[in-house]
Amino acid sequence: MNNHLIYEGKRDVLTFTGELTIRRAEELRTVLTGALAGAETVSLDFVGVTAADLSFLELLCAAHRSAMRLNKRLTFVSALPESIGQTVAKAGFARRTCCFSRHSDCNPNCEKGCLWMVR
Amino acid sequence: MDEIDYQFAEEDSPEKFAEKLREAFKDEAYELLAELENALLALEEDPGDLDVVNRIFRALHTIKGSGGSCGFEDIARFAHEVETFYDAIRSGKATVTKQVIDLTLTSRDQIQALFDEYYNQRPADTSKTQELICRFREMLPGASPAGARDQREQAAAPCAGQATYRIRFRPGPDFLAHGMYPVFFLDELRGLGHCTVVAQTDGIPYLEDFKPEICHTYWDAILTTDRGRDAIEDIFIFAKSISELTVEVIDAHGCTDCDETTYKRLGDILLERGDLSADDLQNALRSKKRLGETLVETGAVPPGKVESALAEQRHVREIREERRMNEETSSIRVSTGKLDDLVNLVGELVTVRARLSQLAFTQNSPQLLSVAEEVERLTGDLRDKTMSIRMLPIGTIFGKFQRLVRDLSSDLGKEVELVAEGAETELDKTVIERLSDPLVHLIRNSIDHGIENPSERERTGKARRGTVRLSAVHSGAHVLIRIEDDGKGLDANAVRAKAVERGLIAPDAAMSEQDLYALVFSPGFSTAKTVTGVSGRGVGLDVVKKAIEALRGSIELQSKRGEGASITLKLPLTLAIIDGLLVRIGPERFVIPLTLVKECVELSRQDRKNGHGRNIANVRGAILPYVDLRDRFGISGDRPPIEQIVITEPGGARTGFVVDFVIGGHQTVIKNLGSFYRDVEGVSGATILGDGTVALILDIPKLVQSVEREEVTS
Repeated sequence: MNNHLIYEGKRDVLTFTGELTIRRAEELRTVLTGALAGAETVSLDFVGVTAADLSFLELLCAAHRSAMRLNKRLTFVSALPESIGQTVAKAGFARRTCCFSRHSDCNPNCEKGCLWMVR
Repeated sequence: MDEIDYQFAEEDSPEKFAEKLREAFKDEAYELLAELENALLALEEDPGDLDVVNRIFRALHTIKGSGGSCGFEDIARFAHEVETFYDAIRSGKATVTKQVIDLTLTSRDQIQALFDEYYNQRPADTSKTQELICRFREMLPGASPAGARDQREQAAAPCAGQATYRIRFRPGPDFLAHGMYPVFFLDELRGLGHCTVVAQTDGIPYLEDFKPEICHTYWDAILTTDRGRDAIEDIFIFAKSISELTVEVIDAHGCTDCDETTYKRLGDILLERGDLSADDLQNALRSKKRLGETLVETGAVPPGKVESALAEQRHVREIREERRMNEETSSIRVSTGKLDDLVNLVGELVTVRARLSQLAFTQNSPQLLSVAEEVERLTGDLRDKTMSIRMLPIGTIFGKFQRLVRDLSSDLGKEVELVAEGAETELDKTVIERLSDPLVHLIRNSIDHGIENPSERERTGKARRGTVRLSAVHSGAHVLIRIEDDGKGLDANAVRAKAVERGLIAPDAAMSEQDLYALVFSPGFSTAKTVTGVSGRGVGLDVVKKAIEALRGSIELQSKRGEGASITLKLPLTLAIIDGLLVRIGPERFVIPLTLVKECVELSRQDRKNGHGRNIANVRGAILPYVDLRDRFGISGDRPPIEQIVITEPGGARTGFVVDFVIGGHQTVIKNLGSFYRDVEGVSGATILGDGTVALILDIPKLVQSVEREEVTS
């Protein structure tokens, strides 16, 4: 397994390693769906990720969207590694405006906001 | 400025040719160093500002490129090393720290020293260069790929034939199934020029509906390139059948209907793109919040589209700003000598125009009058345009003060911020050049004497960081330059004590604070208890005052104990043409600068008698000393029964000048007197009148000084 989930009650940490590309997208979707069904907050750890592609970014957006609908939180454990950061930049996903700016206190450090906000 | 000869003779030897190139590069080299310094100081303020990093990169890059081609190989090699480090900063591999700024400033100084060695024959310590190179190499985390740098270099130098395109690329659902990867297309676009890409993610579904084999995203890109629309469409040629592509020009070099400093508003961009309806825009504009926020909150526009429109706004503004700066620097260089000749010729023309008008008037010929009026209008325009060529924004000298403040505050252990306002205010080039040293002195004084130590400031409830505010504004035919600080202000008692000690005032003299403060401009006056390397030697403020007065300006000091001091310099816009008051004594005519004139009063024979042989008159109950110009200049002939006193106030003291008649206001084109007359006291120049005769321009402060001196000796 290239990813594993640590159950911590209300906050579960999902750790990913290796390449996160379209080949593993279906598997990742299942893992994320499962994680969101359980905990209130799902934290994602990508430190061991060596490559990521557009499908992975879209998948994370989809997961974030679902989490917001379920009133749950999807966060990153730490800053994105360069392997993902480069894909975010190249695919034009980096944001200055929040996707979910229906809350008025949105700022670059807002955890409710878009995953790709430039921090 | 040195005259530049762009004509290279065919028979020039390679050495001669390189020498000429170096001479032609001289001004640009020093401008680039000034730009580098300004950008470094700006980066110190905001280390995350990539635009500033780009400015630094560009300056270094040009020093390297142009310097190298002129034969400054050592400088080119050095600049390349520093540039490499800034390239690493641009690509996020290195960070901006105080150490980096310090090192780059030192390197900038070293480059200047190397230029000075050639241009000014000042020996430079070349061993320092290698040491600095080593320090930059040590800080470098690893060399950046050369290919990537070439691409960035290309992007950093915008081309004259470029245009900015708005591109929307929407891959079809089976795009990925065809083995195509959208991000490759975006990379290709970036290869064409400066490109901003924003992904539109509003089509991404919830996790349960997510299908990885479908591309859910589409893209907006803003691309500035000189490669044309075809090059853009060529990128997508194989994806044509399985994607949608729209390309439109939104900005082009030389577009006539665009304001070069701004760009469309957010609402207009969204309307143009078809991402927002006019009704929704109207509704959103009624909200008090910012438009983008309202549109997203009400769901009128997805946030990605607002992001994209804002990115377009930023992108085009940056491109326009860059273009504007390039256009500014693409001006030609003309030696000031040639410019002075032009001003002189225009001056002659103004004079001839006056003669023509006079002739037309006396001959009373309608045809001649009409021609004279036309010539008058054209000459007026020509005069204004010629004068405006000599005008430079005062910001050209403001830049160097940032460095001064930085270095000085660090030497003195103080925290000082320099705020410059009105840098765009224009002033005659000569005035600006001669203003630099007095301003340096005043700013040094503010920091050394005005701004307190951080701990002292905290004790008195002030922010640790002091502020020196340097501002320039137009005020009629003058420019007001103000140097304000929020330091401790002047101590009126200390000023008084010092003035008494120096014998400038009597111990019991009753003086207003304002009058007391004016004493600090007296020679040798200083209240500083210790002499520092910066100021306190008691020389300077009087020199500053003299320098300002030499520019026909005035200086005024205001201060509030504990709150700070402010010095205001009032300077004429130009030194070439002044508003004067034309007066006559016998057959001679003179011009008195109008800025010094307060009023004119009559002087009858009885008034003279009342003075009992002394040159004083009673003006509304106040005694007014006057200078009899007829006596002073030894002009023979009879005085009119009623003469005129032109009352002036140079340096705060009212002095009258007796003349026969006051003719009226006169736009005076100043002609310098030849070297033979340079030392004639009381005359600063001459002008030619409409009838071709010469009128001398009086140097009022000098006249007053010489009369006072003579009285003391007698």
